[in-house]
Amino acid sequence: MSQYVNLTRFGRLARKHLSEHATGYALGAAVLLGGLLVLLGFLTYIQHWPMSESMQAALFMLCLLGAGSLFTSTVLAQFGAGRQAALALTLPASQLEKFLLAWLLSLPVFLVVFVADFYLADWLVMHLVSPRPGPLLPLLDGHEVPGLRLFLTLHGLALFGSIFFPRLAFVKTAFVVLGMAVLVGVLNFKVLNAWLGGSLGMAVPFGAAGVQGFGPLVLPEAQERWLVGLPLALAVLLWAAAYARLTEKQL
Amino acid sequence: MVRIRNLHFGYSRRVPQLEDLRLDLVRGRIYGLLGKNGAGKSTLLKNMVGLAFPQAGTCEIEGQAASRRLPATLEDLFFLPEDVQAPPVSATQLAASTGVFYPRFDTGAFHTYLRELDVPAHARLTALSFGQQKKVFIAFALATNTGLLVLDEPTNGLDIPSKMQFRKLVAGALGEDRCIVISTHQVRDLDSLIDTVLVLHERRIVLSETIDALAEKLYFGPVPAGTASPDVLYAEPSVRGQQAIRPGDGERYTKVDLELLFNALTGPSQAVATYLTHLHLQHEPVR
Repeated sequence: MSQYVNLTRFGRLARKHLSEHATGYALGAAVLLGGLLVLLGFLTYIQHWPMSESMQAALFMLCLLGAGSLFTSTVLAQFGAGRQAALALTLPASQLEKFLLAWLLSLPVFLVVFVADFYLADWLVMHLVSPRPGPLLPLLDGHEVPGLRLFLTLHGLALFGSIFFPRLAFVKTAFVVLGMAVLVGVLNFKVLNAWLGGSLGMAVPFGAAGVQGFGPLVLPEAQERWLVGLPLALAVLLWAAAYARLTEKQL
Repeated sequence: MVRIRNLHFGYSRRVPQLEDLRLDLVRGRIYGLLGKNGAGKSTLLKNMVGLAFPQAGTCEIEGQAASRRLPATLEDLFFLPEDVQAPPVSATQLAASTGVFYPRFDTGAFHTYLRELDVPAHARLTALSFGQQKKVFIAFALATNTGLLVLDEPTNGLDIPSKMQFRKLVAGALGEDRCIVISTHQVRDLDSLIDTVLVLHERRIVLSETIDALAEKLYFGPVPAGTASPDVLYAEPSVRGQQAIRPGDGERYTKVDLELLFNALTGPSQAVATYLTHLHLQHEPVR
């Protein structure tokens, strides 16, 4: 039997996890549906008009990022510390299997549940609250799912935070991420400004910069294509870091 | 079963908790790990089961580094920490969902243990008291039939009848292929249960010896108060008068008074430790 991945053992691990958390997950999905109904219903009600596709896309993205990060911050918490960590870490399954289960639950499974919840809420609002039914968000019409790449990066951050911080993982991860975003933004501006002789108007990290009297500076098209993959590359790095942290976890 | 060599550990480099430990644990024995509060008993157990990694030295279970936490190693090991958070399932559901990970898990024995410990099998664990939850996990731990069973302060939270029942169940669960390690700072809880004593004091194992060998080498008994006895290694007052440890004479065998021995080894007087060292008992591998 492989000491890294074995389907039988993984199945047992999944069954054990679901037997202990199924009720909580079902309640979480119901709360998410309720929250979406309230949010979408309230916005539709106050504007007396069906929500536009762009507005639905913006809400989809915001809720996906918020709910996804919050949920992901909990999936490795049982291994982090506290009274459940010893039994969880010494459960006879490989550390890769334990990590994979958390990854699957917080990414593909969560995405499916979130999309189902969103569309159910959207459809109900369109038919029950809106003065007339409007078009639902065209999620799979060939374009990218709104916010998916950013969600992958945030997923990596939240997953790492869930094993790195023994308590209040979501709050601490959010604090660190916001702090680092501010730091990177300021440093990026300062370095570019010094480099350009103090004529910088604005600068977005890994993006465009505005130079006074010169106009916007953008990356060449070839390099911009590379930049598209940056969130995914960051996510992969963070997933690997979370796995490494799990294997090195001590109590 | 467990082989520890030159183990150094500390949660920070500047504050060592365990220094240069050497220990061999074999199957067919019940080890009692004794130490004061904060002596590092839980830390040593965590190193043993792979929940803490040595800064130096090795800690192996059947030749595999415990820190790798391989499924093959974990299948033959169960560690019950002092404080456990029970999942929101019943004892029966726990056996069904978690027992399958242990190849020799015995569901029938689990339910027998539950009955003997007087714990309901179908109540949600989260609805039970701390002591009841602990008894469920003790029953589960014994029913896993793992080669290595490590129990950290298992009697904390148990009432007096349950402590007696615990001793009976553990003694009954020991087989030739099983090694049980029990840590406690309540020495009396392990009375008449363990067959080998490990005492952890000031970051080191100061005693690792079988009860039989101790009974052979040491004499435990009363001495008249106020009389000076030159061969007394250690003495302390008790409700039964002055109790003392003296060198054994090879003819009279007395029951090992674990509490007295523990006090002798962890107190300021080093006479007992020096005597045992002189007999080449200290730090010898237990076989």
